[in-house]
Amino acid sequence: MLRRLGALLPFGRYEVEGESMTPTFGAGQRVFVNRLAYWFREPKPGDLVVVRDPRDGARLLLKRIDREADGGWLVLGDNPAASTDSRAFGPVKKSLIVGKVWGTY
Amino acid sequence: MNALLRSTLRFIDRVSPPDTVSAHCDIPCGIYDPHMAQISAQTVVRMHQLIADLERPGPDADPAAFANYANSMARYVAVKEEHAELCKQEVRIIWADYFKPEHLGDHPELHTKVWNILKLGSKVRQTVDMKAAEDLLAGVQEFAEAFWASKGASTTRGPSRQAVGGESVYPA
Repeated sequence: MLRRLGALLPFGRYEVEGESMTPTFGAGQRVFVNRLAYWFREPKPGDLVVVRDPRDGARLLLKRIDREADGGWLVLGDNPAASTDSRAFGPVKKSLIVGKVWGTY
Repeated sequence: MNALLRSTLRFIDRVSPPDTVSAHCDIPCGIYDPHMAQISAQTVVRMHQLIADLERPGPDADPAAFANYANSMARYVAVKEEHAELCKQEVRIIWADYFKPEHLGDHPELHTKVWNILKLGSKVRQTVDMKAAEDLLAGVQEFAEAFWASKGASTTRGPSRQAVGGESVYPA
């Protein structure tokens, strides 16, 4: 119930799992995400974002915006050797971008 | 982020744990090996051999002989089905999860090769066709060589030392 209500809030709290964003974020770190960030402006290269996996909408990924391409946004991990990202699944539509990372806590 | 906000968020997390956001690959194991695909393709060839060698009972054979013939045939076909699908699955995983666009520079024919393997993997299920089975194995072996080459490893071809005969590709 709390989680359902949480989905309506303008911000989200996430715990990082995995190493693709090393050294920016490590496993277990918590990030605070602004869900409204892209309502009024476009993502820009370098932004840290939470996106839905285009192959599986239930899965959330933490990536960095690379550039705009083919009507979507290419997202990459900071640690390419341990990342599945736009190199594998192509550009991500803006509607799949959950929000922009504001900081860790 | 200021300390008050931080502790507030930490408190909320205690009440309602945060969602998980993934920052890794499907499984971050990075372990891929075309060996399974090759064994599956060899199994498909072997089933074709067994089907070809299976002696058909004559018109005067007793019902038990015919039942055994049908039983063996059914088993060979079932294993052929299963391993053709397994072969496709293994190749599909390596192609989709391991290979990346930058590999296409050195292996421009990769997509075509995979496409042919997947087509042949279906054909050997739909029909009993030794040529298709051998083409499937040959395709998978070239795929295995491309896989190891992309990792900077050389390969050798040597006797399979399996009932199916022929060669196997081994990483050197």
